[in-house]
Amino acid sequence: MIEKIQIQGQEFHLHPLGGLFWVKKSILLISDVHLGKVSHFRKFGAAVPRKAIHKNFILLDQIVADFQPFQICFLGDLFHSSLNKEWELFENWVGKTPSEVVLITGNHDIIAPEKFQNVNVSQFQELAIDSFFFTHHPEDRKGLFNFCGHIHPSIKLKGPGRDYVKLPCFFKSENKMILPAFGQFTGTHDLKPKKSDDVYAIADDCIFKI
Amino acid sequence: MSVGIRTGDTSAKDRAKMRTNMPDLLITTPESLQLLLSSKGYAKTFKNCSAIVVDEWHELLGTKRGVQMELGISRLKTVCKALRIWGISATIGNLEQAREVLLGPSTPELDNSILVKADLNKKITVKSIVPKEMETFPWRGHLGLHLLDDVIPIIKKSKTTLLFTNTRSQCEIWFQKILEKYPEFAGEIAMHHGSINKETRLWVEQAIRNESLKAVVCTSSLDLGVDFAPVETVIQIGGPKGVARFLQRAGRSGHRPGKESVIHFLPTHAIELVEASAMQKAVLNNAVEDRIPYLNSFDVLLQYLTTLAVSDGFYPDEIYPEIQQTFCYQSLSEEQWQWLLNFLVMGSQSLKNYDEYKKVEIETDDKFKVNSRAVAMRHRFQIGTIVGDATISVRYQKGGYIGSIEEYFISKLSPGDVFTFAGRNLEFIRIKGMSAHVRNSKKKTNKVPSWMGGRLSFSAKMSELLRQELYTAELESSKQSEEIRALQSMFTKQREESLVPQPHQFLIETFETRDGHHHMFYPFEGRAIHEGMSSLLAYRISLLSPITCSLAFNDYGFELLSDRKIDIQEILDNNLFTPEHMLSDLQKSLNSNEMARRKFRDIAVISGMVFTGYPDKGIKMKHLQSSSELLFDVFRDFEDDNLLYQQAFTETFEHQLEEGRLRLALERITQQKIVWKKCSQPTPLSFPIITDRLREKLSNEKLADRIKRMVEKLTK
Repeated sequence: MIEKIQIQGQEFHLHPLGGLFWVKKSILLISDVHLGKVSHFRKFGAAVPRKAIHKNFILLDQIVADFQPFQICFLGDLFHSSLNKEWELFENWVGKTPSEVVLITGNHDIIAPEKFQNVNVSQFQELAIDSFFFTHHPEDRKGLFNFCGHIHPSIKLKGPGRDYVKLPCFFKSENKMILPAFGQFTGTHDLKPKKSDDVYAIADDCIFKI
Repeated sequence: MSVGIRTGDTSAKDRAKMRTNMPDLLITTPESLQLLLSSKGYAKTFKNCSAIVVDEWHELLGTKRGVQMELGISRLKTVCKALRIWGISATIGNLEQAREVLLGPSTPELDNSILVKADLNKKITVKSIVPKEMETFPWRGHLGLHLLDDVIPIIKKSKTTLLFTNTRSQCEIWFQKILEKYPEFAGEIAMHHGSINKETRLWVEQAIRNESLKAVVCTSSLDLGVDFAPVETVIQIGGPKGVARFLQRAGRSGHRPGKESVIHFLPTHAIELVEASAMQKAVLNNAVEDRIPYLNSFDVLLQYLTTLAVSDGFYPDEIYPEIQQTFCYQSLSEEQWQWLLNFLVMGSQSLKNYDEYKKVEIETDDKFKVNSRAVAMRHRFQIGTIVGDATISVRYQKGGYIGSIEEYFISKLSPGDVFTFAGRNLEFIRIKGMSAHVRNSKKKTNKVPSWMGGRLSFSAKMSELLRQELYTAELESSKQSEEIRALQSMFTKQREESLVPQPHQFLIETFETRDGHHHMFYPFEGRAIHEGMSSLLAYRISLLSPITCSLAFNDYGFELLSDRKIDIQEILDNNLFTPEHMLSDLQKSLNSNEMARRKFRDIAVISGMVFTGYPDKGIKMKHLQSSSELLFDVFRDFEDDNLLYQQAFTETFEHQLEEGRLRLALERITQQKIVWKKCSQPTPLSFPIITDRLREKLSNEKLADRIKRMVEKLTK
């Protein structure tokens, strides 16, 4: 179920898989996929199940089908490590996906930019469109609203009878929105919201505003 | 004759010297023996080894270190020309089995073996420290500081006293509090636990021998090892949870032939007095527990096979029969063996072309070998079966190593915070690399690092004795022990709204507090059994109607806490305590999944799936460190037939939940009369359970429904 929100007069859709869609510009934002992580571990002798590799691509297909965006912008940490054979799978995925693909460089993205150029993925340190700007690390800039990743935010909720759950979330403060990590096989980091923050927690296929 | 020591602390220089010239007698550990097997030409090194002596075998048996030992011996039997095997053990329940595990079932070694039993008639005296004023003695707690003043005369009276605590944090706190209240002891008391640096520990041990210490506050770190003749008295703070451990600790005092051992039992809360009383009976009857050996620990076997592949490589046809001779792997099937070999070489069961998995390679003559130096080095760092939390060393800014602390604790400190460690008040300055820099501080503090030690559970024997003791609550006071008499006021309070159960009764209590609806059950079977039973019951209740509850348990009983009332009558009408379908219900209960997840953590590290990093290099290897929690989920979703994933469940059911005992416990309950008491407030028996913050939870409600309630609570 998609949650529709307004930021600075613009409509954005939050997807329970962890992506965010800017309706007017038809841009899909996705953060921290960490492709190649499974292969990286395997290369170093840690036998993570191989089947897990394909899961990320299946989920990417799913979210792209739901929005059919003109452009997909990855907010960093698209690849977890140096080049490995998962790159070929990524090449295939970019090839068959009709949307234009853009990457904001994250701290894990150490693959040579030419590699991305060769498959028509343009790479930027940051990107500003109207009064919004996209980065990997959260940033504050006067007059601009920031979309970013890096943190892998999650939130802990407490209920009656000492019940509690921990959920990945979209974390919105006054001038920024931190996206959850899209990738499987990535951890999360608990954030504590202030009164003025809006948290959109992901529970299975629903999004809850907390 | 030359004697050498090889442990984790042995310097690289000494190790290198040993490689060319082994001492006549080598003192080592199971881990270091494995390390020796991981060096090239080990077969030549051991060729002339004529005997191996395994000391304190009872401590290894029932642990994965024991499995490591079994595997080491299985190799030495082949490599050494004429090997004689000795095992030395303290009294345990299954001594015959201990022999079988050490030598291997149906082996010539076992057939040729003899058992030498020393008939020691050691006199052990157990004295309980009974609080003078029971009215003010707490119903819960685990520190026992209320009785600190009663300990002082005992210390003063004897030459040297050891105070055993159950956790390292408790050890720190007791040490500090004694000095605070009785500063005259400064310089005469010391502290000893596993996180303190080695020099300090050795110094303390030496000081005990020199009789220069009046008392030492310690943990299980002083359970074993050298004898301390000057120790006259031992004090056990809080329930030791096992008879064997209690006897072992008692034996630390009066360690001379003909001398009497004296141990004082200090209860930390009221109901532990029952334990104190039961312990006396246990010592009288020498009711020592069994140590249950592991079966089919695939993780340790994978580690061992990698070890052999790292040194000279191995031929499966040669190693398989050796392994089948061990107790642990006596039933290892051909298919499982092949699975393990595939796992080592391909990291899975079939080869795929885009896969870059690399660890063990098969050479042309079918030898399994590790050829990558990086793989070999990482493996050597990871040999071992004790998996701890990530630790950080604590150092003075100007240098000087103090000890090591869990990373988790340090991560919660801010610069300037003061905490107590190794008996000192330390101010945290910063983290640099893998160490925390500190300086001495005069500030007082309550922050004591807590080490997430395993919570121990009562053994079957101990639970039985405990119930017998508790049942004496109804007898006239002349037939009661001193401890039970002291509990009179608590029992009276308990009877106001409920009762003290008798052998034919199974007590259930329900009441409501601010936290929600409490449902208390008292089987008195030990913590581990209650963990399984609470999970089982909660699962069965959830089949009747969707429910969310949190579970808490101790050695006496367990609790289901929920925001709604659970209909106890419905539980009884539907016969939810039945032992039928126990195992399948238990497997389906969410909680067993969580427990398996925790077991998997160790398995992932031991089997080499998770690399914990080089010591002191930390960050550098971070990109290879993944959380085993995530890994567990990945296996659940993509490869649930993986033997290591399944091992996590087997260990949960057999070693943690003790399914055999759980079944007996359920059968006992079906014989009992169920007494359901609706109370208006918490009873003394319930108190230690409901105040426990470490809880499991279970829910089969839709996540969405639970979150709606949580959001409501937030907005209220």
